Amino acid sequence: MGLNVLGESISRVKIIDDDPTARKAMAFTVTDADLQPLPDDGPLPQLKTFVSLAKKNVDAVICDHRLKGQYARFNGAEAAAELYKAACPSVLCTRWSVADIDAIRQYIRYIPSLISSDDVSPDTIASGLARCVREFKNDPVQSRKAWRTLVRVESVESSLKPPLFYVAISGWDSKEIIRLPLSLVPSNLRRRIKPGVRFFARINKGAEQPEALFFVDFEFPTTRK
Amino acid sequence: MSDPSLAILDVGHGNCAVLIDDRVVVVDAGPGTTLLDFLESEGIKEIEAVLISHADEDHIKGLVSLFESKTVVVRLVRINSDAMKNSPTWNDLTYLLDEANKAGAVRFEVGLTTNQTGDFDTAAVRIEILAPTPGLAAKGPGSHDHKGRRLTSNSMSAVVRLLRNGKPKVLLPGDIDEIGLENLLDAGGDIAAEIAVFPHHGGGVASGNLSSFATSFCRASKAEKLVFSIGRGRYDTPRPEIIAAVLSEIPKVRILCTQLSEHCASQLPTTDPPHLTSKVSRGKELRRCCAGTISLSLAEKEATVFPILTAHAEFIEGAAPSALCMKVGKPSEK
Repeated sequence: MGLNVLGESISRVKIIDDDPTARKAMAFTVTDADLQPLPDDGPLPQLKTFVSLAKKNVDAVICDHRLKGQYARFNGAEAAAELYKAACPSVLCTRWSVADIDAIRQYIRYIPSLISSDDVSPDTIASGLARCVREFKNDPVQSRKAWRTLVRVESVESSLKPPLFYVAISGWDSKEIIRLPLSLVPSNLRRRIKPGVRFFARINKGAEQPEALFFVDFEFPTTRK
Repeated sequence: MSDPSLAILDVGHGNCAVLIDDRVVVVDAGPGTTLLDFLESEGIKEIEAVLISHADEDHIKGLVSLFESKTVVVRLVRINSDAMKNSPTWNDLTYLLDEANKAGAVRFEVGLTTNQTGDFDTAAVRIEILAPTPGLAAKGPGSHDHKGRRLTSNSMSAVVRLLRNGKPKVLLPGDIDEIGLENLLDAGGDIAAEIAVFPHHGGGVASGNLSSFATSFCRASKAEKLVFSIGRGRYDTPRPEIIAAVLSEIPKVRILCTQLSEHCASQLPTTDPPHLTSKVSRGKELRRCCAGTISLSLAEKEATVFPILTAHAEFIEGAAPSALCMKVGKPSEK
């Protein structure tokens, strides 16, 4: 039983979901992937403790994004990101990747495997965990490699909560406009986000879906717009 | 000394070819980051020249990425002007090239015509520019040719041919259409080549008469191997009428599509095809490759093709039950 990904053995998989029925269904899928499911009935401890226990006791985590009630005091995206920083492979499953993208976006850099609940299968779980391991070994898949990219600000909605801005990334898809939370930009640079302004950021522009894009290392030209 | 090589990259729907000899020359840059990924994986840090056939997004986006990333030194960029284009990508590219040119980081030159034949030659490869003529390039897209036909960006595509010791090896025709091809041939141009990339990814042409265009192209190119640089699920390519006309004109031709067309297989393979080379391919991550990135060793006698043709044929026979290229005999028998 188990997967071998680039020399890393994965067998014990913790399942995080506040819905007992969903946990049970996921356990079947995990078993079909030749992995050992370990559903967690909660309530979960603080995020830091949760991550250190997961790192110690399991090989990987599969996590739903929306965790309600007393089950957890954090959401799945936060958990997946912290697990990534601790080099523990995880897959984030959600039906809410589009609806919750403004909240999730800041964590995407640390979430190699974000899959829709409809796409969960033994194959997508195995390939999702493999994507994490590849990143830990500094060998990301093409769609997760970040490149310095020109971004053009189309409009700003600073009165919204949270404040948002809209950008075009012609090096990725010139026809699509991407909505981003202003909080994604370092606080000392936010005042420079204005319609028509061009800046650079490192973006994984090999990604196919807008929800999968992450933005890091913002850089503003000094010469002209 | 090793033979020069040409990689025709699987960039999805688009075109990009990288000639590697004593110097590196790139013809079209495709969309996305495949060119960047390829250069990184091959350890290429410097490009002598990037030649762009025309300003369509699927040929220039990769150049935007190249200049944004600043990971590779590019000495020269050559492209024809196109006043008809007002796409954000075209605007961003000209912005980036202007900035780089101003900073002395690149020589950005407008004009890629028949007059540039020989300007980009490498040690072993002659690089011909077969179209457009300077006269047509001066008029530009949106104008009319001497027969009064309207010229589009595709009609004005630069057509590049690579020769080894005088022997025509590879034809890279961009998106040239029937008007552009007719102008090229009427001017006495010769597009014969051992291997040709089919124009416009095997998609639609201006007149809509796909069969006659494919027949004219095959008759003039006499190619033994034809590459279709396609993106699965994009624009319905290669069009069955084109493949049928190709096979009718050159029954023995060997067809290599970079990605697996939906015409050939409604489902993708469920396991990673083992025969594909280790070269960077856009379709690899989602198992969309058919031939994937195609590497050619430009030997003097006959170019060697990787992935090897027998393995590619076996893949088609296993994974593409309705393969268009199998309508006239199995690829493995060609």
